[in-house]
Amino acid sequence: MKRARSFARTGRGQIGLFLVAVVVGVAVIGPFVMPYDSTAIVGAPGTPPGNGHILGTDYLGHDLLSRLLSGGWSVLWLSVATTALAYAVGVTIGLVAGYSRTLLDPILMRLVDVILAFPPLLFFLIAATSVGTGKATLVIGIAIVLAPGVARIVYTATREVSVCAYVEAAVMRGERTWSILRREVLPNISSYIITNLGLTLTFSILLVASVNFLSLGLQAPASNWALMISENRPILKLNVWAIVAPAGMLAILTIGVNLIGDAITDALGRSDGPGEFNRAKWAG
Amino acid sequence: MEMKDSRLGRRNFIFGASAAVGTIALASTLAACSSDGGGSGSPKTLLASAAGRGTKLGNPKRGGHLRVAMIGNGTSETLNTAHLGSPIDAMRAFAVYDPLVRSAPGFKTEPGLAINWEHNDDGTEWRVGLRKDVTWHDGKPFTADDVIYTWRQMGNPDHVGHSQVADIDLDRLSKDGDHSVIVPLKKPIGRLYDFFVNFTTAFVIQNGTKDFSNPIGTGPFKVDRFIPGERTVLSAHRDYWDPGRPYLDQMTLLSFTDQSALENALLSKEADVISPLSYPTARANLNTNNYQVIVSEGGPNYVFYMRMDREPFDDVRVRQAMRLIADRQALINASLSGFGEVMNDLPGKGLPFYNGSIEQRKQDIAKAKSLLKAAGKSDLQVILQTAPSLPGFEEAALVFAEQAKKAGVTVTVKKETTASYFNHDLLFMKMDFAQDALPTPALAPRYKSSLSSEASLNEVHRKDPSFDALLAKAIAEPDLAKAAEYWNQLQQREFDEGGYIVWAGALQVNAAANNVRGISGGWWLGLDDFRSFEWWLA
Amino acid sequence: MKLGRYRFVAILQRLLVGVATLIAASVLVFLGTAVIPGSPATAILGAEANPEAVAKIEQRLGYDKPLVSRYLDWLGNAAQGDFGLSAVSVAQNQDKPVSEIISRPMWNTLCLALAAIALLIPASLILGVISALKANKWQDHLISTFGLLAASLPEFVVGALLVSVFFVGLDLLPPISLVAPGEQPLSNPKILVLPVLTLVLTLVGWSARLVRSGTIEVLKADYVQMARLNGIRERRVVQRYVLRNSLAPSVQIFALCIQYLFGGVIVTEAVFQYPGIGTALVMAVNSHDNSLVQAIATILAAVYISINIAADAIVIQLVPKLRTQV
Repeated sequence: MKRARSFARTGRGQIGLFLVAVVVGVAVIGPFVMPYDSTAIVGAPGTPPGNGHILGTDYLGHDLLSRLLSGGWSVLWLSVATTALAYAVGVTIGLVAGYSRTLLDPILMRLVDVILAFPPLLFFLIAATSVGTGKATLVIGIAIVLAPGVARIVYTATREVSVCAYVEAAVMRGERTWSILRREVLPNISSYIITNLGLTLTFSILLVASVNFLSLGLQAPASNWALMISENRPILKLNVWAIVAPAGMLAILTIGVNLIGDAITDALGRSDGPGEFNRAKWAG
Repeated sequence: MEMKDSRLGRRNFIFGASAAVGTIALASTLAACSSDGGGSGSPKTLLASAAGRGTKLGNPKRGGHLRVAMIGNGTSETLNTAHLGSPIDAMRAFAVYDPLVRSAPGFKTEPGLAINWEHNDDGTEWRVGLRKDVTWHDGKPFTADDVIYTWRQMGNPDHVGHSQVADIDLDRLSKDGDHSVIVPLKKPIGRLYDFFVNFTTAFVIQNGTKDFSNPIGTGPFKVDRFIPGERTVLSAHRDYWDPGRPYLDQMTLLSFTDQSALENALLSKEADVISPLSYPTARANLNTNNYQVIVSEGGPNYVFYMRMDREPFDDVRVRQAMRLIADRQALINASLSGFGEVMNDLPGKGLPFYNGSIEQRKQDIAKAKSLLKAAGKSDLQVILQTAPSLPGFEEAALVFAEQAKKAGVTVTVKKETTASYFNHDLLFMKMDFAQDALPTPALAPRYKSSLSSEASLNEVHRKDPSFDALLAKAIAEPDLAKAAEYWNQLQQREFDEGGYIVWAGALQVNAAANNVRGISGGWWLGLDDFRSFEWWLA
Repeated sequence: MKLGRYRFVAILQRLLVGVATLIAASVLVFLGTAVIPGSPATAILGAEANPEAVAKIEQRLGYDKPLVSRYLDWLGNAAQGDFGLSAVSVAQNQDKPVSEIISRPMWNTLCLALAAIALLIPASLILGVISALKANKWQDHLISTFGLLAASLPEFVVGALLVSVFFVGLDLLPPISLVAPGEQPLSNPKILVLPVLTLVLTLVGWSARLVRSGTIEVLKADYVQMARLNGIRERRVVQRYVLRNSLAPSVQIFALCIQYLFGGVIVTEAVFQYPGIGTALVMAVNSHDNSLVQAIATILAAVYISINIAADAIVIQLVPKLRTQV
């Protein structure tokens, strides 16, 4: 892990950290420095910058700058929560399936394949109509969509590692499966996990935005950058900042997180393996 | 049996009276608007700037192919008059079929296929005179048999308009010659024609039609090709009864799912007319030359409704408080970009029998608070369910929630999907506090389908036999002066106790290329109330 | 030949598993759509729906039969290529076979997808190899940054930005991509440009990065170092050793890209109003047309699974070692 921490000294790592810090800073401090209440109607919808509104107004007439400043927190915790959940489930499945020599392996992975083959937006359309639209549905839904991709990567990596000498040695020593997984396997697949953390985080944010595009997503009036991108589509031509500003924040976050991910894996001495590609969950 | 026309003169019956009431109502609307300092938002200024936009100028030219793009209804789109449900279905149907009663500019109606409505003394039997020399698209002549068949089909429980014809004795319908239908009623009705303006009941289909894949109509256009969810190709019916019309040779209806794509279609000239145009965009383009922004004279009544048979809205004081919280002009400005007419918690403003003497309710937070306190609900918390089904819905819900804060009421807005919002199995008729848009071409059908206790669209879940009795009396009364009294009483009751917050007549905004003419606006449905026979290309 | 037999067995096995997965996915979709309350009956009959009328329509749709038998009926027919009638059309009394409804959209989306793939694969390869060869230099950073930028934006934003530039700004390309019935999407290539660019831009960032990391691994490999030490020119090194060996992992990457493409198609088609299978799917779900949803989702799952199998088959062909593994 010490090698991992050395990433912070590399150029890439530092830029990445800086970018992420900027975004997190805006998200955390923003709500305290908003010029207006983020849910107050202060002007006509879709007015361009001017008149005391530095970024103009959004599709409802809220001050855009205030919405921007208060919209980071929601997106951040949402993407962190969904990614964490996706990883919890995905890593577990991947580890178990990859390590196991029994029927558990093919059964679990075929299950993963079936879920991957199910179009995610279809899944949301059905879920929203039957279960309803709420934060819980969204978080669980996105996690379900992302988890199989994580599971696939962890599975491949675990399979590779589990035939390595040190794992065999641990087995012969009589170590329990659980501790083998924790102490021998997990640290050695960490680079794959960390690289994909960045991608997964990004995809969870994109899913939020796209799910909302089909009108299935979060509840207004919560400010949320991903939500802002789709809800302001009708006024794109009237006030382009309504989409450029939140999209810009998310882009900076994405780039920052990925730079950090790159730097960590470089520091660990291995680049991104020719591993699987997390966007697979979108397929079909 | 003696038939008497108990109204003005044979030529004038409904239409003359409507004109009078219509004009008065419109004038009062404009007056009300000018008193709110509405430089930015009043319909008066909007209509004024949209008025001389060239849609009415010049002599109609014949020929041309008009492409109309609208937000569609996917594969549920249909030409089956029993199942019409969305604006695009209505547009298509008005092109292919003819209504018995047509709407006309200025909150008026005019004869469609029915040119004469007479009734006996007590209003229990009517004789409807039909237009002569009308031909179907396949050449056959239009006769009373077609009307009788149409009405009998409406009696089927799966027909979207069946509750509107419930009081007609369909089995005993008969004809007197080929152009006259004798209509016996189970209960008297004072103005039978009121029930045949809405697209749910107005259209006449050919006698014996069972299959709607290649429908025959008497309307201005014939169907060449119909692909639900995608496009409809129409060509002019050269034997249409309205002389000289339609002016166009061809019309194509395009069905879109995305509002921004709709606007792009107009800008890139793939469409000549689009409906709707989003309100903020309309505002921004009112005075530009990119395209014409066409604003209707009136439109569906936008409402919030409260369920009257459960807490907390079963207490009339709570309902009144909620009605007093609404700052209607502010709602209109924020959610409709100003394209709306303030309404007074009663549907059908400007229509015959509308009680215009009731003073416009205004926002009164202090009174709302005291009413809530008296009801013991000072910290009321409610959930308002909304959906992006119509332009302005969501925005209005959010703004209302903000307004409610001032009265100490916490309104949590819950967004649902359009598909579940109006779905009977899912949410429709099951929500306590939600929204709707009520196209109201006449009072009687609207009250019958939404405000009475037996109404199929009784969203407010009213259970009030005395209200129903009064409504029945108002509808049945053939003496129109007496009927007006009943209607006034009824509306006063609705105003005092009802579960609807009718906050705006949402003006419908559409856009057309600069060379499109003849689209004058419409007053209850939108896009010129789909009078496509009048449209032409310069 | 021994190796040949193993190869055949490996592919056959994957095929069988693929079919099983497809069936499992179709069961999932079936359950999903059956569980939603509401049917085309209420969607069609509208707000004033009468329960008797609804029941009559549902009976005609066969909704009163038990789930298992309904599914098995469907499966039997589907295996012969008959996806049944559209539930909405049955409710409207105008029975239309599903195959009639989806054949045009499927073809349109296929054209779109092929055009996108034809652009995506070369672009990713070129950009990925360049950034690997110039790792950590300015070319690498440039490609990385723009790639990530485009990839961090949802399709509808990329689409809207492209429209702003190419239509509003330059008036070069149409902002919507309608295809009239009877017309071929390829007969008017201009309408395909922006949707294809949207799909490619959202993907090329990722796929180029993955080609890059695969290529870097290969560049570090012994045989490449050997070739260099032996004095072989860099260009030949790249051509003979690097490209060929990064092909196998790239196949997997591209398989996944293609799968993503079919998902991104839903949003892209909506933005450009392109009459493809994504639009058809959204309409079908909104109108509760269960048979249509079932058919489209199953077809898409089949495409996904076939791509997996094809990719595996290619990789097995390319990588001898895997032919003996199962």
